[in-house]
Amino acid sequence: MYSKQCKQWWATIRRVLTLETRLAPFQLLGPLIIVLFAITIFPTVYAIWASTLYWHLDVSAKHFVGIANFQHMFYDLRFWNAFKNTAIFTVGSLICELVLGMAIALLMVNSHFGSRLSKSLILIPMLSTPVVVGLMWVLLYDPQFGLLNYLFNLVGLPRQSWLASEHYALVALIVIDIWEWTPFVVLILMAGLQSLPSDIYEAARCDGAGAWQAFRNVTLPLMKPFISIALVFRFMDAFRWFDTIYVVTKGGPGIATENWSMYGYLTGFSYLNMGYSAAMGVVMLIVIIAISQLIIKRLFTGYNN
Amino acid sequence: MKLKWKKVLSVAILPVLMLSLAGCGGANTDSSASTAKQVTIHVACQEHPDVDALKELLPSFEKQYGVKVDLNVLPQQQLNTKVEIALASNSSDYDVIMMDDMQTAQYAKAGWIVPLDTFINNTSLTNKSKFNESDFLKGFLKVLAVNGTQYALPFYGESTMLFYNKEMFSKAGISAPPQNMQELEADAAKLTGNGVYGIALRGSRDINWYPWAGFLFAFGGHWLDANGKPTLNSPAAVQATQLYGKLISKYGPPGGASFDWNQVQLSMQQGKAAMIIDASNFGPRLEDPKESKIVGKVGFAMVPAGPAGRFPSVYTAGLAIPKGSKHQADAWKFIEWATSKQTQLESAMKVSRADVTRQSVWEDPAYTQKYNNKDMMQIAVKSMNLANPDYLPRIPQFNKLSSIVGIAVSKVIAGTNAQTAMNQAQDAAIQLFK
Repeated sequence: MYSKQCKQWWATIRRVLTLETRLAPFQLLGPLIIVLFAITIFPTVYAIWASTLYWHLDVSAKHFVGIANFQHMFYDLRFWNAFKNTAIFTVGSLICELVLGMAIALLMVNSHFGSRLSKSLILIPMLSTPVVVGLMWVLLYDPQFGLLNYLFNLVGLPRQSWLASEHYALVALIVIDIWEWTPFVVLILMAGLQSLPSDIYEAARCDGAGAWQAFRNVTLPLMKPFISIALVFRFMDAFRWFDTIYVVTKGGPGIATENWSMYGYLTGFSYLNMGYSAAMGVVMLIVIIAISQLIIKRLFTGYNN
Repeated sequence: MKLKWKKVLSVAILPVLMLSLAGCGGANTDSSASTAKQVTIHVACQEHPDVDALKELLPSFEKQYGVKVDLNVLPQQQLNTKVEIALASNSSDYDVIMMDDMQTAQYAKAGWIVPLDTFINNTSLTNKSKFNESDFLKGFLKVLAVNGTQYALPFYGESTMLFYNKEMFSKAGISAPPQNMQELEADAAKLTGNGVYGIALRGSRDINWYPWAGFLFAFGGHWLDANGKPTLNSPAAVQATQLYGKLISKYGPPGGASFDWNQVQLSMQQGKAAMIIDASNFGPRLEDPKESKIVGKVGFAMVPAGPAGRFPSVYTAGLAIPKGSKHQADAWKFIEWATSKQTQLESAMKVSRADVTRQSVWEDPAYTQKYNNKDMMQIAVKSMNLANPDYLPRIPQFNKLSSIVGIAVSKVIAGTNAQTAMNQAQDAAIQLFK
């Protein structure tokens, strides 16, 4: 009797464990949903709630202020400066990375530049830790001991301190981003190029298309989805770039390289104004979603038509 | 059958993993509970030579009081960020924190740190004659107090002074250190050239306001007027900022815009800079053959005077007890020990310390024998005595105000017109006090 019940129990447990009951979907999705809720959904909702509060960490009382934090942005010049820097930085690095990435990918696909060795070598910048990349470039840019200034000296140009200049510091950061992330674009575009069918090119050649025409009218339209993927990924990354800036300039000199992430971080963790910081985060999230959607929709529908 | 077992495994592994994780957590709390008899206090402190010395002395404290000490050492900027987050969440992570004197008003107003008076006056905890509060340098105690209530005790303290390279001065034909701002600028210009830079100052926007304030006062400017309204674009403030920016951008080592105290000290030690105006406790480190290339060539002087007078800074790193601490009495014992005469004296024997905070240590024969550089010590003590406790405004908003100034000064170093930058700073500061 006892052993029979035991057997039944065991059978039930086994059916649950082998996903043969109706519990199966919950078993499979449950852990994922819990994790997702804990690390994504809850923080997002919490941030949106926080963005409606007057909440300074050094003032114990927090209270609801509605959209006051968002209103404050309109006349906060530093916020708009951060926006300008984010925009310049994102657009500048995106354009350079795409053009350069496409050029390198074209060079590497179907040619001896595309050997396995060079393919692995080109990935090195992307694989390095952003903080290490930052420290390395600080050394390269160093006005006294940096390699770049040594080269400048060799050809008779005066020493430069780019990172200390209000005009060039942002450009210097864009160069770092290009160096670090062009390989990523190359990787995606090369995969795309390799998947293109060759018969279309044959047809184009029969119609008398030259190399440029083939690129302009065949390669580019076919590559749209790959370009849009690269664009979306790089856009989202560049838009919220933080780590390397923190290491290289910390937003200085003045506020010349302070982007949204940097300003948001300082507002929250240095000035302890959590409400305003959260509001900036929410605005950033909305802008990122809106622009990524735009990129995906435009480029993908273009392909389908 | 095989397939089934795979299924079983894959599903079974997850709960097992989760359980084991939970198990880990459980085990941890258990182990801490079983060792609860021995209290461990957690101390958050700056990366600083004095802290290194303190670390070496810790065993004697642990033996004497039966309390274990865990030092969390972080660079100054990161320390402040981390500590403030811990304080704001009223966490019990830290039992003692090291804080900048400028933060006292903010932390006290937020109720983050407990007044120390209750511990000082508690005769069962503190032997008053041994503790001897009046032995601390007055200026340091004052900047760590709010409305007469002591919130922290000074662990180390400093003022600003002018260090100069005597060899470079004689090469440039300058006989004496600059006494006023005009001489400072003229000397800096004369000394710059042949790989040598006239002067190195902190340019980083995080900290440039600290030496900058000395220039501000020297020209007759103030952070705030008597009514607490910011006066950052007063003619004096603009003049001071202009000179400060010019010294760094024109006569300073390249990249000076991002210098903090470390790089300033290094450019002096390496013989790159002919002068620096910075913390008095650099002195022994400039004369330390292990670190410095200019041993024996260092001259010491008071900071140059401006039209309004001479204004050395005051800074002290205080030790305070967070409200969330669960071992406040033990924390107090640690603070009392760490700032005691004996500990300060012993640590001064281990590392270079021209920043002790007790009169009796300054006067102790062992101390004066090790630090026998009369010029340096005299200037340091003179500067500390002259230092104005209102060098930095003691207001809860200081963090934001200093950041506004830091950005403006940084802009001026990078080439922005001083009037423009300070007008912007003034606007931002007015917003802050609205």
